[in-house]
Amino acid sequence: MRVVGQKVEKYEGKQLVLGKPVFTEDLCPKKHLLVKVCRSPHAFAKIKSFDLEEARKVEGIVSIYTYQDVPKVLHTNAVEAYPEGSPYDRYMLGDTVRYAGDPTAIVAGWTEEAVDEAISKVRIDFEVLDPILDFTKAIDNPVQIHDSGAVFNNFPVGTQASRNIATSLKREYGNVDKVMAECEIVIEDTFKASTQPHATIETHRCFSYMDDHDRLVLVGCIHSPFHMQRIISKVLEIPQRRIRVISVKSGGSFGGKNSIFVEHFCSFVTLKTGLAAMMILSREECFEASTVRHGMLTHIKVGADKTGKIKAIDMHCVTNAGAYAEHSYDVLCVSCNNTLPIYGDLEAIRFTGEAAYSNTIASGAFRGFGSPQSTFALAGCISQLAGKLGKSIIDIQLLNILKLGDKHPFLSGGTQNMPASLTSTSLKECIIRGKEMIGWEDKYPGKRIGKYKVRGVGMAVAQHGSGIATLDNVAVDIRFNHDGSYTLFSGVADLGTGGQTTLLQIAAEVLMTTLDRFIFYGADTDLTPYDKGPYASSTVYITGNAAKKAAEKMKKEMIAGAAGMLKVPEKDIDFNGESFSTADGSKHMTLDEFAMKMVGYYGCHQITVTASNGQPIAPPPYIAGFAEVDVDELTGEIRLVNYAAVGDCGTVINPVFAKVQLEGGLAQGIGYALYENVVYSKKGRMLTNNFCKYKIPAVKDIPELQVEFIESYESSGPFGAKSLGEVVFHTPVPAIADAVYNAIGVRLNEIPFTPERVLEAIKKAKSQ
Amino acid sequence: MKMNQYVIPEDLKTAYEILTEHPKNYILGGCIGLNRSNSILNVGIESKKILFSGMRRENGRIILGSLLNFHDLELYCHLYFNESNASVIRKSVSCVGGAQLRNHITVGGTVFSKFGSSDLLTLLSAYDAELVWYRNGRMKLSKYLEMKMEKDILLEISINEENAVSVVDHIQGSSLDNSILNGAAVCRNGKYRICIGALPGSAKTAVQSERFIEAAGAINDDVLQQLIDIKEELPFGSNIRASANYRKEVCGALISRMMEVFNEN
Repeated sequence: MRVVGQKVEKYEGKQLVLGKPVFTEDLCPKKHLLVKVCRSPHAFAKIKSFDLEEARKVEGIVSIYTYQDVPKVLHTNAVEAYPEGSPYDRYMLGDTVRYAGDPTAIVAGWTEEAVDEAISKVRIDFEVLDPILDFTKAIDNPVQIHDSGAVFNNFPVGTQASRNIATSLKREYGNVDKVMAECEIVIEDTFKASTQPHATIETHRCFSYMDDHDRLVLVGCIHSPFHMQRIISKVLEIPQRRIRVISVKSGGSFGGKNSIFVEHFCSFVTLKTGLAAMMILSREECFEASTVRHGMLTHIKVGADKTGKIKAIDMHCVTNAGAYAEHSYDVLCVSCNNTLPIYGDLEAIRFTGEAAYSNTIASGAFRGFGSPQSTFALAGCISQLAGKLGKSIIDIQLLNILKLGDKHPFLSGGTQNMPASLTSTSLKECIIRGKEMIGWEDKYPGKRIGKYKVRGVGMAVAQHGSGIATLDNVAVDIRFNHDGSYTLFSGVADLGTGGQTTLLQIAAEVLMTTLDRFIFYGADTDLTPYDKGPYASSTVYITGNAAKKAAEKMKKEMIAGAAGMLKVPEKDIDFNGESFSTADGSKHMTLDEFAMKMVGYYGCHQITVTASNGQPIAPPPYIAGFAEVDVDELTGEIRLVNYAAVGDCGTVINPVFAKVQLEGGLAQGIGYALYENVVYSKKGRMLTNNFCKYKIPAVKDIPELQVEFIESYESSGPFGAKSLGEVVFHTPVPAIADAVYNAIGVRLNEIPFTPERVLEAIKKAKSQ
Repeated sequence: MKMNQYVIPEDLKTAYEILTEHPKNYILGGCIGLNRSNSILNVGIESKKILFSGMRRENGRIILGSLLNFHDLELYCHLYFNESNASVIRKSVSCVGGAQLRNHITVGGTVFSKFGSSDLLTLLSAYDAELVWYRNGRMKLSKYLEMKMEKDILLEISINEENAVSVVDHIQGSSLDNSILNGAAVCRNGKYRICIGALPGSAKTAVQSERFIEAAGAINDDVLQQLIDIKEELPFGSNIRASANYRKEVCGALISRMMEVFNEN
């Protein structure tokens, strides 16, 4: 292939590294109002009254709005496909605050100083209520966070507000209790995964203005502009066609910008005042009042026979939804569907899960979407199973992983009675290659390297999905321009992954040309076709397929056009990307010549094609991750010294993007495993609200990562490609835990593995 | 941080007068700590014209200007300290952010604000460094760390490196995070001074370990082993990085680890 599989540069890469003004704040109209919100200092309280007199007197303040001034529309801030599984459980502003950081009032003014001063002068009389800060104690707690009847569901998702259950899920295949009872070995344990902020370098921000047709234009780093348009329309009670949403370059999202935090406040101010407005979250607000990864408590049982063959899995999760349910239902689905089908040939399997409301920051979408947490639990059990049998974990993995053509009841595209089968995998080869890369034979399980220091190796495998089967829908337009160039229009926002460039590579491959013939226009609800958004690891697989279909249509129409002009049958036209010719060479026309004739006087036809795409399956990408760690037995400090990972994303469309995607995901996973620790005060304020207190890994913390790919071929994907964006996150946590066990024989069941937690585990193991 | 007024005095006398005019008037160092706070200053007093930002040797001692930044200290300490001690000083500041941040953090700011988790402050304590103040004159760092002082301007930090061999170490999460617990030890003529910081308060001497080593006479494997089990009676506290219990638990291990370095040398 000439473009697919090549190290093509990112379409916008040069402009980004040159520091060109392409981000939200760079593009805002010069004269605009600054919008901020007042936030609740209490984790749970009712607002009794406001005193805004002093705040309104501040010079430069234009308006202050409370819940009494804004539309009262029950909705979710989660941005995802309609109808959402996300319960509608919040108002833009309400009379009850449910976490420390919940917005109470909108303040708009001409300068930041004025707005800050006004915020300091807003007086709110609260009736402070007892909060629930520990989500593991939330279900059936006498404190009820949302009133019964005040939560709306588009379809049943197991919401029970009276029990603080935001949503729940149950999936079962076979008779788990019976099979488990008959298993020769049963591993049973509990794992706790922490929350994790997205820690994007660019905080949430947007600006809005009224255009010359008096329509609202909203611009920002918006993950999914079409859903944003729909939700803003609902919340502000104006028709969608009066709203244009434009997504510009992103300073990081990781799922964090797939919710509404600033867009409705900013748009509301613009609608009310008619003035351009901008809202930017401070770093502290971004930590305290956006969303985080779901904290999760997982109780799991894995039953196997004496050879290590898994017969049954029974997993029960309680996740921390936080104050509002947001993406909690889908996170439960992914915790189940994108995690459990990794092991095949089971007799019975069950997943039950509840997302519990608590008075902490709402949990939302985050790369991995529940799967890292449940993978931690499942992989932990596999590690224990190997330990119990005295076998290498690699043998257990190879014995149990789902093979090509194997069926699994939870695999996407199937039903309980008609399980789908696996259409592509190279996981076995990934495991074998990763084992070589880390030097497993020489290093397993570990060796003492100091009086109190031991080095060990460990591994884990993981899968994810590629988009959402039967739900995702996207379209791509391609226009053939008069100068022989193509413009590809896609509603998919680029979150920094190079996703838009991969779409061009796919289209260029079909049209047998190079990227310099392409113009990309992205993510603008007025101009680009509908796209559900680049979430759920879907850009290459879902939108890429649409780009491929559109390019194929384009090629067909161009050949038809050229055949007409050259007056030969279509079948006689040979198109090589640069020119059309007949097989005998008697007739020939360059692409540029064809373009001018086609659009101009001769053809009077501008070729524009549209292709829509949705997929009946979401084929899993795979990864095998191998960690080598040093553990200090006296202090519990862990240092990661080596990490090797081998991925299967089907065909690698762009080797550079794939490599950095894998490396970045590993680094983020390593941070989740070792350092990233959200700490709350006793009253529920998030204490770790800046980068000095909340530590993401530094370059020094990440060893040189060894990453490779072993391609499988996914026939339903564009040129055989599957997804990659999320699966890359999953292995560091369980692989590091396995390595620590192999080093010092201690099990780690709670993330992050801080020195204190590791030392506690060491002491606990010694006392047993 | 906000300040109502910013002044650049030409001399110490003027600076001191402004400083004492109002309780919210402050001498500005690198402003890294202040910048992250919500403090509102009445007058911020720029110190670049009045404070020493370099290093020098004087009467056998090494003087660090209070406006000396961490990056300069890191780059040039080998010109004043012997190579062994210079490498220890470099280690004590290298874990603080990137070079950009270290260009701004000043030694004086760290010392003045008794910044508990600073590895450098603990090392200076182990050196039993002296502080030179505009009004109060010379004072032991250890005394300053224990007392509440009226307003003054910290001019210099004075260190006696003679016959001293030093070690610094810490227990840490991410490599750019503040220490969970840090330690420094200086051996002078066979006598050890051991300080533990990031309690999370600022450094204190580990009296029991010092006494134990003195009684043992020399450091050997047995002594190192027993040091691990000494539970120092220091005012350990809890913060977002670890609990008081953890700090108490690992203090002996940290001290033993530092002493092992002396043993190896």
